[in-house]
Amino acid sequence: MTDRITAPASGIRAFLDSLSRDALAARLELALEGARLGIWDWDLRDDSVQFDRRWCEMLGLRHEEVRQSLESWSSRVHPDDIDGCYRDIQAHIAGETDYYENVHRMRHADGTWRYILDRGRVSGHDDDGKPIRMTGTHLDVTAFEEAKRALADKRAQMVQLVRYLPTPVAMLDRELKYIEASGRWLVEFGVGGRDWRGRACTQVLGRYDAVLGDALRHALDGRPSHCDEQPVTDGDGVTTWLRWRVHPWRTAAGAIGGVTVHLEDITADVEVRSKAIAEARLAALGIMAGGIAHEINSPLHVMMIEQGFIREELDRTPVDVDEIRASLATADDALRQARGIVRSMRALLRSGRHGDVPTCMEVSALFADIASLCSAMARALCVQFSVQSPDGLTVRGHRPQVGQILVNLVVNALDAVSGQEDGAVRLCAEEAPDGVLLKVLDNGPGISEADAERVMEPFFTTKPVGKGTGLGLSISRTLAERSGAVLALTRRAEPTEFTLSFPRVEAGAS
Amino acid sequence: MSRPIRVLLVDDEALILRALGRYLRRAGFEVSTAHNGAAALDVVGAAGTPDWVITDVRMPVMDGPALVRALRGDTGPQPHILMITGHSALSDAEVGDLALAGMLQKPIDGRRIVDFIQGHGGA
Repeated sequence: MTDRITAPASGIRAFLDSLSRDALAARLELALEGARLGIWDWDLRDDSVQFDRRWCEMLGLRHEEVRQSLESWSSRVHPDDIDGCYRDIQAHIAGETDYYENVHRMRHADGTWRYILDRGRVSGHDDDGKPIRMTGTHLDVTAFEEAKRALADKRAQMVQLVRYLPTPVAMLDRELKYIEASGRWLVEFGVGGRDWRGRACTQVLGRYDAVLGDALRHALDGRPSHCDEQPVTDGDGVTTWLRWRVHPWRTAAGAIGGVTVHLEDITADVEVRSKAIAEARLAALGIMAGGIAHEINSPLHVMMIEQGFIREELDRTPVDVDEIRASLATADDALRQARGIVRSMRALLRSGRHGDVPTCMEVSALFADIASLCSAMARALCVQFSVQSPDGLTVRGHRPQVGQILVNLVVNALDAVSGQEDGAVRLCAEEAPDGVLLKVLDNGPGISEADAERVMEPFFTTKPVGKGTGLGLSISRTLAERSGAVLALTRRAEPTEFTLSFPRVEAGAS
Repeated sequence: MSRPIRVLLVDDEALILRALGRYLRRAGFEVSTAHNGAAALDVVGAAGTPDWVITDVRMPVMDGPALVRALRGDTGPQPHILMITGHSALSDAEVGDLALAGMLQKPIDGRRIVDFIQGHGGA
């Protein structure tokens, strides 16, 4: 027999044919054992079933304890699965399927449910050709089924995560065909139908080739790239603002499988923000206008007093010319004060359009302008307001915008300390190793740790409704970035400190 | 008039002090000035209580009402007090509490102050 096993055969059929019946049975037994297959043989006439030893052991049962009847099987099938089993069996018996095949859960003797792959076939007919026997196998596929289910769950989670992402993103293969895409992407770019997966993404990528072409090539070479705000002007001169990010993705084996693309039209956001900036400018202007009116009133008042004085002096005999001269000198000083205020206002508020070029500015002059606009407000609120700056310090930026940021910070600080007995606000400048720091400090109640993380967020405000839009700091930060500066809360309390840091101005830059 | 009426002018605006001071001096008053409430108390401490204190409301360090309360808390001779108000007027109750001789609204020229003091019977 051994000779025969090792003997060369023309094929497996020829080999099996060559075996004796006993040898064949032994072979079969080995194969079943190796494949972990349990066998059942069902007599459809009386529902008696022959279960083999492996069938029983698969369920933790001893062969001799198992009744050889259909009920031994059916009573152990999960109630939710049994109907499906009978349906599939019926379909096969009725000749609708070549095989019976069903995966169902069965109760193991240890109480757990096992997934069983059940396969079978009609193996005998009566004289009328009616099926009377079915024979089949059981295989425990619990581990496989559980892995399959876990995988399906994971996939469902991922698909849903992507589908409901509020941003347009797509995952593409190396040929730039769709693997997955968010609902926003499909809607945004009009990708329709059910069979978009596997379709080329050229319709979208073609339209934005000028923006994404290089990024896609780089990503396929493993280099990600992105841009938060990129203007694209079409043939009609209409500008669209895009935010995009192209990233390679890797297979489990580590090869670059394709790219993920995030592509978003943020034109509306950019427009809203520009509008908000314009509005904040107006609001700042309003605050300052109030201060200016107050500030100009004071020299006007002085001039009025001196005018009255001179008028009366001219009626006296003799007229004291020296008194009139002294009076005119005071009126001149008042006039100069008023003109200084107007000049400061123009310097600070002169158009803040995008076309402005950054310039070098003297910090002390900038501070003087701010002081002349804010000190009236400080006085009105009974707050001590001081300004200090070393001579000769310069920063480079958009002057009106830097002015607006500082006025905004000072106004916030004044608000923070108003109503406080010893309220004080300080605007100061200092030189740091890598640039210049402009600071606004106040001795107000400070900012809580929780608020500190959010103060720069748009619409975050601790002021009462109607007193602030909450846009001030977030817009100030944007304006600061445009001037190449960084705005940050550098100290939460005692004193509260906001710092606008400018990089060092290169020698010779104008 | 045996002796000139003594007036203490209190305002945080230097030019206002200069202009009003000149007017009142020329009108025959003896004028001293202070740029806030605390400085005014120093002047009173050094030179004695004047006949009149003419003070602004809003000032840093010590404002007008705080100055008046400090003066009224003193047991010595009391000055007449004229409050010059800007956009923030005091309530009637406050005027009563502070025992003000009166209140005048900005902008105000020297003539009105002199008329007020003389209408009040001078010193």
